[in-house]
Amino acid sequence: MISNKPLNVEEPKWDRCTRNGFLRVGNKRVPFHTLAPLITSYDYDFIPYFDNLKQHPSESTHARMMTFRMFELHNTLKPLLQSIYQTTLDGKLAYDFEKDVIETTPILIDPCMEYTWYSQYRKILSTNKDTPIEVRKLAKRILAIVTKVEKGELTKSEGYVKEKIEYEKFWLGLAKDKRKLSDVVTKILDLQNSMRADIGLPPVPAVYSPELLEVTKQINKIAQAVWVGENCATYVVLTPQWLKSEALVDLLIDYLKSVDSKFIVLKIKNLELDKVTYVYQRRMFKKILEAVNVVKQNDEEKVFMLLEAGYQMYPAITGGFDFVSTSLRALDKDGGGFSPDSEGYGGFFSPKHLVVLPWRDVKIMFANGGLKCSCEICRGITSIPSKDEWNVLRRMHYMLVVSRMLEDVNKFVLDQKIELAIEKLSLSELSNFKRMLPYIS
Amino acid sequence: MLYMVGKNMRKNVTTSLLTNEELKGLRPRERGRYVQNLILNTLDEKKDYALSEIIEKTGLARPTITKHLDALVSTQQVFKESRQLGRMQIAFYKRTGSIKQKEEMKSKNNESTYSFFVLDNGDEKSICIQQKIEDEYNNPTVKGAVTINFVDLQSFITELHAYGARVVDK
Ligand SMILES: [Zn+2]
Repeated sequence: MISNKPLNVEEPKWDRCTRNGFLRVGNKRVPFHTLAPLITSYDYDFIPYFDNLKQHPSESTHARMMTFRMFELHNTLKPLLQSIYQTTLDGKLAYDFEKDVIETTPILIDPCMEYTWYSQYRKILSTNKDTPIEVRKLAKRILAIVTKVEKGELTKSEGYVKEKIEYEKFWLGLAKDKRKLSDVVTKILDLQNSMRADIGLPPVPAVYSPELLEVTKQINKIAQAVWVGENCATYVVLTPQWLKSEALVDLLIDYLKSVDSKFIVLKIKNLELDKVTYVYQRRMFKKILEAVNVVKQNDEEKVFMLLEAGYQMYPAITGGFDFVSTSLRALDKDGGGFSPDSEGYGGFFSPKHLVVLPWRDVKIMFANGGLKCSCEICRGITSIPSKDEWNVLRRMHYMLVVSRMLEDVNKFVLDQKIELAIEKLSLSELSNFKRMLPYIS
Repeated sequence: MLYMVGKNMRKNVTTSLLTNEELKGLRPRERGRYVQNLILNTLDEKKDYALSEIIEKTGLARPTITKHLDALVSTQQVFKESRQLGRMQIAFYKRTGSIKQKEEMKSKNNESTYSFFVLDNGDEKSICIQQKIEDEYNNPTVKGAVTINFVDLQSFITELHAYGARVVDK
């Protein structure tokens, strides 16, 4: 049975386009302006995450929320939940601290259905046992088309058309077949609930057309109906092309304004608004932020979250979203990976520049006296660590500096000085983001 | 009459009304959830509702409503109170109030957890005990519950002691 955890906004206090306060969901309470890191693996994300919470609790107060991908649960949350009540030989709980974190930290599990459209994790989705069979079959059918393209049996553009037909046939068909729809939605929400998710995320597709937005609405509606209680989100996953059309953005805004749910989650795939030429897209993002503000100001109980926020994390949180999620690598674009001159060392998120500096720049920093960061992690790094150590430490550093940064936003609001956030953007490499904030021209 | 989501309704109404076709698409268990959702959203912590009002507000049939109301009452999510109105005995329903002071006790063989908490309904307080069992991921589900009004607590404990002494092997 999907459980009912009452959801409330406590102590809201505004400064223009952002507000302080707390979200209470069941017994858990978390401040606004919080990062919910995407935990994708046990060793590189989960352990460093717990380490930070344990070693540096006062530096990570604004990172006490977690996001997981459904198809990675067997590597992340599942093993922990299975062992959470294991006792040591002397009868103590072996995972006492972790158990406490799980019981106090809001958890979200993203169904990531967009990977029926995007290729990155399609293969994993097609075999993942937690994914409903209908969705796995769809992923397999599309993979078969991809194979045909690879073998040269289809041209790239023929393959694309076939993929699109297959994808749309499934999702548009699902919205019409109420029994199948309810089965898929229920299976995914049940799994989230059994994995202790505090906010339900409905299995919505990646949306690039008004028709697919209608499918999303239908799925959200059924999800609200089968989830007992207030803590099921309305969820929309958009492709980045959506921001190229004001008409589409207006459709989205109309929907956001009309939904009943208290918790509204948005994900815009591969969002790269830092590109200098994306002037129009930045304006559209601003329009979304303005709409988020209007919705929240009309109803204080509404809460917004942006998933896979990437570099947009800071303007999103200072411009209207209450929570953001990014990976601990700071980057959320699919693909990528290491550049050839990285030697397996990942980049370093600069709290000043708000972007990830490549390893070659980090090496120069080391040569000139060390990392330019005063966080608890960086202060302990005096020489170049091993590759594996570095890739863990840079994640821990990211979590702490972002948590601190978001805590600062909280202070700005308290002092009614949100312009300090604008100043921070101005001084960063993302200065073109400052005009995205609502009420700033 | 259809269930309306309007300004006069409670703020936290989150359930949109499903069409008949959508309702039919749900399997019995999910349909049950949906109906319970609707009922909970219709009810209030502060105000009593008669069965007829709930039927009118949800637009669902009487047998459906009574069945699910009973389930909600037995898991302590809804309070039921019978009152004498003239010659008629009428049942009124309201949502259980806010939960305060939660404590948990694990049974010895580790199969059940008993949660103790205080239900505060404005004018009266009671202790609620829920029995939960856990699945393979240690995820608890409520199996049953009992609520004891503060004023009845002493006599309840006395009776429980006496009953326990009679039936449990020494
Ligand atoms: Zn640092």
